Amino acid sequence: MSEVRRVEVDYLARVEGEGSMKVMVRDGVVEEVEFGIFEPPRFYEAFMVGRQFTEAPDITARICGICPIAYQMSSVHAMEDACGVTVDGQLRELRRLIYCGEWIESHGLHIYLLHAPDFLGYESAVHMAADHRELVEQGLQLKKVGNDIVTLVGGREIHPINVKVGGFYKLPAKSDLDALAGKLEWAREAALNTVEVVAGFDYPDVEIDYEFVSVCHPDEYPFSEGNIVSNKGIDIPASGFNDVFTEEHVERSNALQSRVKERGAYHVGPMARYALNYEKLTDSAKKAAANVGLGEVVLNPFKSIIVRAVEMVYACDEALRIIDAYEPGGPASVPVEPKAAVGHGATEAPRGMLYHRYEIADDGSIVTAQIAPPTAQNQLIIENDLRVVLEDNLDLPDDDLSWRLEQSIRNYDPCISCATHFLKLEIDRG
Amino acid sequence: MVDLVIGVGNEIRGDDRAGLAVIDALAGKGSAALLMRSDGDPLEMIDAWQGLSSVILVDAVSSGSPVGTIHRIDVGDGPLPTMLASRSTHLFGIGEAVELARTLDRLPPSLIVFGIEGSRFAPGSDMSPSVAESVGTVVEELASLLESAHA
Repeated sequence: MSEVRRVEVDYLARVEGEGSMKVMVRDGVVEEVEFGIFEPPRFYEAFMVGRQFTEAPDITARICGICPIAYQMSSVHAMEDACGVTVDGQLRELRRLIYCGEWIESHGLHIYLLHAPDFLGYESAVHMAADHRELVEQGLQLKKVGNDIVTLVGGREIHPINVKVGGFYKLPAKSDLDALAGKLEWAREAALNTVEVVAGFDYPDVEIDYEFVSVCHPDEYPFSEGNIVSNKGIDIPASGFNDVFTEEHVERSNALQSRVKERGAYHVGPMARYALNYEKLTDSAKKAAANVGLGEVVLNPFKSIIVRAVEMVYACDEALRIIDAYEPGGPASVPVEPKAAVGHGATEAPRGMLYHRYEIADDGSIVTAQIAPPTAQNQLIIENDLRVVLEDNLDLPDDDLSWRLEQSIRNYDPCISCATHFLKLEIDRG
Repeated sequence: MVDLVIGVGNEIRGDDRAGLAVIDALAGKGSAALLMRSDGDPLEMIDAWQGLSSVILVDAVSSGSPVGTIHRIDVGDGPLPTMLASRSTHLFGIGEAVELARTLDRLPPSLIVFGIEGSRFAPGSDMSPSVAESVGTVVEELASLLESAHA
């Protein structure tokens, strides 16, 4: 008689059934690994058809409460690409600044409040806070500095309204940006401390041969511009996304699973950016990585938390550089006239590359929209990781195994369902 | 006296709009209390109520009660009777944000949650008629509370 072990977790997201994990092992052999997600962007793709091209940043910003800037940036770049407009100079710098804010905010949240509890053995940050108050407070404070940047440049903390196709509605005052500098100096020190703290965690001994994919710019650690590049030979402009990658519908998930047409699973996110762009980090970020023994390429997915911390150091450095050089003046945006065309945008959301493609008509109305979010792109590689981690840990009891597998999913900071916030109440009527 | 009313929700998800709809209606009545729409990260609430004494939170809930039921919960009485998704992979939930604030001694002295029972949460869905009716009831109740507090 065969022995069958199943581990099923159906509460990965706050909304039951929207994110789930299921694995099955028969006679010590892994037979089934499933990571299922519900994915709001598919709804938005249909929702945007017929809307004006100028509405895309505001609409797509509502897809995710934690990375609205990424959605705005991919959409404005795609629309500007379609209309043949380039946004440069100070406006481009401000876009990088607002992206720094989003990375600090998102990485701070994930490192301290979502992922650290896995490593320190707590059910959640709420449980962890009782014993490690200073860590949770540092995470909240880092997150707040990121929020402050997004609020100032973006106009509002969540779903920023100051970003538009062509630039911004209003430029920040020099004095307002200067006021952020002190907070960022603190944040840089806190980020450097974060690198040391998380590097001290215990890590499973595992390395995986990934195909890393990220946006790569010749001179900068990537936010919004550059080719889509991989360590296995891909080097294409954003417009080539659908030539190289394919999105396939999978029965168990509402999301489309992405793969490299020729090879299969690929990995987007901090580890991919870091491996493909290490040379473009600031000296202090490189030094922080070297101090904790992090090489120029990291293949242990559990160490993504350290890479995130190094990227926070970079984002603080970059934000401080931009604020220091900022000279107010000039128009807040460049004019963008619609024309019948197709545009593409690929930018680096905190959790990985986010690709947008729009076809617009002469009158600026959206004809088709395509959004490939990082978590959908990572879905297949997450399943591959689960298989590897499962095979390495079959001797663990079910509870410990489930913990380790969920931790593996959280290595990717997955954005499963970012758009629903209602409370689920359990009422004891006894 | 109520210092701040926070409405939580998502504009495009049917009954999940309830909290935001309450804030919009109160704003239309010229309320003197601080009003806040929270349609993203619940952790922002912890900063928002820093230093305030009395806060009201309005949110859609899902408990199995009849649609439109209005739950009134005093957070000071104990943890929210919520199924905390304590190992959610992504954003914090409202319940977790409240409990984190409690652990960090950052809850306001008075925090009352008004929960409006919903059923339609899919993107693009309309608000249920009974939820819309309950939004009106909560708005009237809060408006009179805010008015008497500022009289």
